[in-house]
Amino acid sequence: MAAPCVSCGAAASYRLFLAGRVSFAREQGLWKAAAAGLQTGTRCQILRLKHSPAVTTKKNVAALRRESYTVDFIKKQIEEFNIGKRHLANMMGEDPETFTQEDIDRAITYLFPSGLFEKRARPIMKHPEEIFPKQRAIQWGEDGRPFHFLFYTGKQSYYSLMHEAYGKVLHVEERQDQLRAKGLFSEKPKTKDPIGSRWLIKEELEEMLVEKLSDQDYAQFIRLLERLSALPCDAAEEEFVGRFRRTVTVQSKKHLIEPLQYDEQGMAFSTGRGNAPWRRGKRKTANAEAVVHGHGSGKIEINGVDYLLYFPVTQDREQLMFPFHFLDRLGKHDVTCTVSGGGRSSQAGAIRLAVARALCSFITEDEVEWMRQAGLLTTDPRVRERKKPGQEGARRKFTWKKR
Amino acid sequence: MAAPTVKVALGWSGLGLGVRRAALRLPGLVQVRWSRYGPEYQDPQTDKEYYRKPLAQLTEEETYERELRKTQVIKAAPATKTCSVFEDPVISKFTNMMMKGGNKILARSLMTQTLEAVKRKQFEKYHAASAEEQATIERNPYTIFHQALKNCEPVIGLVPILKGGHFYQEWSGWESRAAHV
Repeated sequence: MAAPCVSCGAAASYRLFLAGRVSFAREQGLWKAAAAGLQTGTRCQILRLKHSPAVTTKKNVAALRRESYTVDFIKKQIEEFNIGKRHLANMMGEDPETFTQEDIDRAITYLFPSGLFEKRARPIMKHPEEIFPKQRAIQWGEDGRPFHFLFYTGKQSYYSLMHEAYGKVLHVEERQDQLRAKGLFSEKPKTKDPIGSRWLIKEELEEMLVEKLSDQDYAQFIRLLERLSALPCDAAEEEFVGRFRRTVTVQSKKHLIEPLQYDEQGMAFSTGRGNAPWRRGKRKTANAEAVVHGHGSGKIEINGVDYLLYFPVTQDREQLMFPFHFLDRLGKHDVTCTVSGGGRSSQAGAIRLAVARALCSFITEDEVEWMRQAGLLTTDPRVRERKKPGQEGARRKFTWKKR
Repeated sequence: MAAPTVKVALGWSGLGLGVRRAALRLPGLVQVRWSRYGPEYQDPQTDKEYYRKPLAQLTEEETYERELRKTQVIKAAPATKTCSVFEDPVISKFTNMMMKGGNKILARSLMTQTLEAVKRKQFEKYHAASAEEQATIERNPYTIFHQALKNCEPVIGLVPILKGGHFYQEWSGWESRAAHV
């Protein structure tokens, strides 16, 4: 290959990993595609498209299944990833030094737009550490002697971790005994953070240790950690325990509440996303948009018709009332809404969702969380199940005849 | 709600996108009893009083539960559930069982007509009775319904009893038995 010119950022061999392929069939290897590169000038050489699939003939499949990734291979992948990252930054016209993973993701979605529904099947470009499964280096030296003293237990990292944790427990207890002997010991109740973090799950621990664990092993480990966290620990032990805790997201923070807005008459009304001042709700195939006005008298107008005429069935009107009754604001708001699609029950459900969302702007954060826990702010995902061939309906089978 | 039972079917893999699967996966088999909600979704709590209770009055377990619920995803409330004081879960269940072909309107109207008829009859009896008997006449149709349902429950049932190494089905009282769901 001739010396590539700088302007076109040549010698680009980008590795785009189809993460789905790797996670579903890691042993089959991956395919590499070197992008054609930029051709800004006639002097730049057109790079060849290298396409070398890992599995070529049936004979190689068995051999490749036992293939594991060597350390050198991973190192090479990391180097190529870094080079590719810089080239990508160059291509997008951004600074290669401050090109983060989010920028990479955005660039890849821009350059390789994919219409696939399965998110894991879309092209991604991530650090090889995240793509290739973690593998253990060879555990023994040239003379055949293993490095780790617990190698012959079979689960050396797990047992060494248990060893370490128990050592810390003993250390803390020893310290407590010393304090008690001196008379300086004070019974301080441990304040535990109730929710906000959780222990690692078994899969996460397995990933961390790169070892298979049994359920009993995992339970034993968690019990030991709980015992350690119950004792008064200092910073080092807290940090050790903190390594095995993950934060738990608080669900209510995910919702975005629109601020209240005021129209010409000075009456408060809640607006929705975008330019349209509506809040949307969906249920099965019904779509509803609602505007809730503050300082009303409990009037609800649907498609220009009063709610008593639009919903002759009591159940639907109860559904409309539900958000207001829950917040004790029954006669205080006016609602104007439009709804289309679905049947009577799904239209009522859609309006209920739209109204609940609109009411979020009028109430406190606590009340929003209460509404969420009462199930008023969740879109009902249940839709009609399709009929399958060979059956009479979605679930109903044809009458079984013995002969 | 119990976790969806893993009934597997061979061959049919016509699952729509967004359908959740239970955690158990067997290679080559496809699960049939699924739900649109994932296993992590919790049932909604529609009782207003549960939320209005001041924080100072909560026990430790209740505080813990409150904190836990903040981190959980909740299902949408079904169309039959409200926070209304007039809603009775037993009556709703009975109405659903009465319903045929999805005709909830008819089932519910029959239920309300029945309760109204019971109430009218009781009021007639009440007005026709003397002062001492008036105290004994129950006019609330809901309590009458609940009592009627309790009266219909079985008093004795078959229980496997171990005798001489074999299990025999014998009649025994059902009050001691846990609620047979």
